[in-house]
Amino acid sequence: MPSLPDPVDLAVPAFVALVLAEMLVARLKDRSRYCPRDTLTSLMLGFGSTIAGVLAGGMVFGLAVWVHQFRLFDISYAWYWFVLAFVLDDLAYYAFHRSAHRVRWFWASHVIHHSSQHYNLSTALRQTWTGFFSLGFLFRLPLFLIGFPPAMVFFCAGLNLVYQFWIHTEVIGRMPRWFEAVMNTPSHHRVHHATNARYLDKNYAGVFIVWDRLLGTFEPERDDDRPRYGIVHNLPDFNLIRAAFHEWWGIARDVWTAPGLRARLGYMFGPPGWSHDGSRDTSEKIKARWLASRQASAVADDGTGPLPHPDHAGGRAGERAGIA
Amino acid sequence: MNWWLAAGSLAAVLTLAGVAKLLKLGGTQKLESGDDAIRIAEALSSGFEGKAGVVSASGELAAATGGPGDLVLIEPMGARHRARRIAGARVAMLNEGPAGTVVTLRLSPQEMFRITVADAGAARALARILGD
Repeated sequence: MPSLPDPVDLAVPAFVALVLAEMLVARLKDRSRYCPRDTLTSLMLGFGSTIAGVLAGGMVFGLAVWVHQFRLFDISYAWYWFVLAFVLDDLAYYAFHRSAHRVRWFWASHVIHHSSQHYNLSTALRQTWTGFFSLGFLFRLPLFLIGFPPAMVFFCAGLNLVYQFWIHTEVIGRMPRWFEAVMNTPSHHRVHHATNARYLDKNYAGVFIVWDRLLGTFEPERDDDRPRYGIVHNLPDFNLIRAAFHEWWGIARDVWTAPGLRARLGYMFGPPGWSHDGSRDTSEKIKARWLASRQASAVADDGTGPLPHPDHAGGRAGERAGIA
Repeated sequence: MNWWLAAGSLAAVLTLAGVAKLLKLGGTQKLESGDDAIRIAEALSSGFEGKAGVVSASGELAAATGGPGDLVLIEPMGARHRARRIAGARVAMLNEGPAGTVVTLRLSPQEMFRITVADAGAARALARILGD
């Protein structure tokens, strides 16, 4: 078995250099792109995530090796198997990521990454401390069962993570059309991080946006609907512990007070925002309300009545191509 | 675990945060009008539909109401804002001061909130809709 490096470890100096470069761009163009306290929280969450990953990594690798013994095929370390592993690992990532937004248990771990109201390269490093606890690694198990060696899969996963670093920026507007068609890009990922109703639960891709296009979860970024970042219920402060655990605390509180087993299961595994009495907002409710508001506006524009509510499409139309 | 890498990463974290501070990144986004208050309140409070809004004379604080007792308070949080939706809020007092109209809000029996608004008309509209 070849000894494969950890791509993320190798990329750390580049991460630091690029964050620094982006800060300098922000200083020149728009200082509000960064906030020192938000950046510190993001980076400390990332640092904690690496510690958590080290603590849990041995167990995850051990499980992968155990599952691998039941493999269907014997796959070697030839370069073409790496290519296929990378593509299939990205598909597994899509499945995990989609679940991480649609199942509260996985969301409780993933929400950390989305909890900043800023969108910059430090946001890319804002990672969960509870990934192992949430069992998100289970989505990769089919790859080991197929026969891909664990070391190969984890190497590809590392490359996947490294790729996703650079797309967490507003400095780059849009890439060439052919690139935007196939790959995940800053534009596509801004949509993913946005809380605008139009953009909720879209663009789950890691590397290849193709999965979203094929599976109906793609939404392009619009110049007349500038992304607004964060989560539906934003954190009230920069507290590190609150950021890392708030949704887990929310689950525990809801399960404790839930009326019955069905409600308890709903609060753990239903979509984020689900409630047994319908009192909270899921993404579907938010989108439905927004669509109704747009339809009412469209009717009003036809001259049948006054506008009942302001359109949620906000912000200025601005050029997004090239470097912003 | 490569402890040197961990130590280096922690040092890099603290250094980058320090650089952000040295470069004076962030600041506070100033709000200008009641429309800004409504827009931000609706963006940060899912399901809120604003009918009137006010912005403090400093541009840092804002409040918006969606109807009797329905209030969203907007405060700066770094370079962005945080919103707090309060049910049962009322206007306790409206006073004219040298910097503008001082709106005293009763958020709860134990909590009051004061915001000085340059636009007297907006303050009165908020009070009328929110209720006293």
